[in-house]
Amino acid sequence: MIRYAVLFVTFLSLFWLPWQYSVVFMLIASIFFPLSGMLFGVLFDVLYAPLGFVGLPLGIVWGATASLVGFGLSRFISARIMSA
Amino acid sequence: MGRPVRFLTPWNLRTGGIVLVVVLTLVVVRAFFPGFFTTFFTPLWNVGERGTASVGAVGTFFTDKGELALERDRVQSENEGLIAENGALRERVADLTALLGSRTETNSGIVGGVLARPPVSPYDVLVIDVGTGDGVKTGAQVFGNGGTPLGTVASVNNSSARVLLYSAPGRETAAWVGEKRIAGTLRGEGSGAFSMLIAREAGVVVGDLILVPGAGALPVGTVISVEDDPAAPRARVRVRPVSNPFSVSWVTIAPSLAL
Repeated sequence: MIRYAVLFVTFLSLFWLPWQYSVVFMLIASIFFPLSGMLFGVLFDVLYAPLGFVGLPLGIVWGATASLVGFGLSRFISARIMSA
Repeated sequence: MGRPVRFLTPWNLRTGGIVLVVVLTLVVVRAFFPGFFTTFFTPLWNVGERGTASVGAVGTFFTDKGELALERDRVQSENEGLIAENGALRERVADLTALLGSRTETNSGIVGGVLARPPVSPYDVLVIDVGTGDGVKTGAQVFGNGGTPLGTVASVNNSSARVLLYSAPGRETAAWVGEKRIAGTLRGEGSGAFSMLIAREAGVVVGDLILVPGAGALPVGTVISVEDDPAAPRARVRVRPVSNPFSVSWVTIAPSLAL
């Protein structure tokens, strides 16, 4: 249940909270659902990046980073639980 | 010794496939219907705006200190607007004095509420609740408190628009500095800040107004520091915005100034 609540809060943070908080929530959500970080990152850029924007798509970069960290952490946690 | 954890499990593959489809859908919809998401999520931004106002009000209800803080914020915002308006009027008087007999009519604008602003967005973009249905056009100049120029409309749909602020990172805008109107290029640094490169001999000092073209010359910021390196031919000028993009809640869009 908590994991779905985290997803919901992350989604709302894109609209209501400063972007720094959104990045933190993306990272937390990615621990439960690794690909959610990427998904939220893309949604972030879809919402806020202006058309014709040239530069680093920050949402996608943070989302992808969160997803990678999430993958790593979730695999590490799974391995620890299985080996215990 | 534990079993190795498998990466490509059926669950992972299925989830990955779903996420890929959703991501592609988001990108395609954004590319072909740029305003869809701003329209679709406008209620969420509206709830956020109301929530922020309510939360602030709850805190101030219980304490005098809170009331004072609110009052101070209101006065600061009002003062900010008056400073900008005063600067704009001063420049206008100077222009009209120089060009006696020129036209003096004011431009009427479209008033729009701000749905999202920095720091929710890291790109120095405002999402506003007026669009083509209200007469907003791409390229139109957008003004904040006291007629301070904030940026231009970057994209617009029927009921909402995105405004790219002059302070967006890397954005360059033609501008003038000080009473002598020294021309230069104002560069956005993000979060409302600007910088500018000006010839060292230009005599720019702290406190000079930075003006951009609009209905005359309109102030966007004031010089807060001049980094004068004797080895460099030009001095870097740091500029503080007249209008704080973090607290702007209403804007005016000039339809007649569409580029």
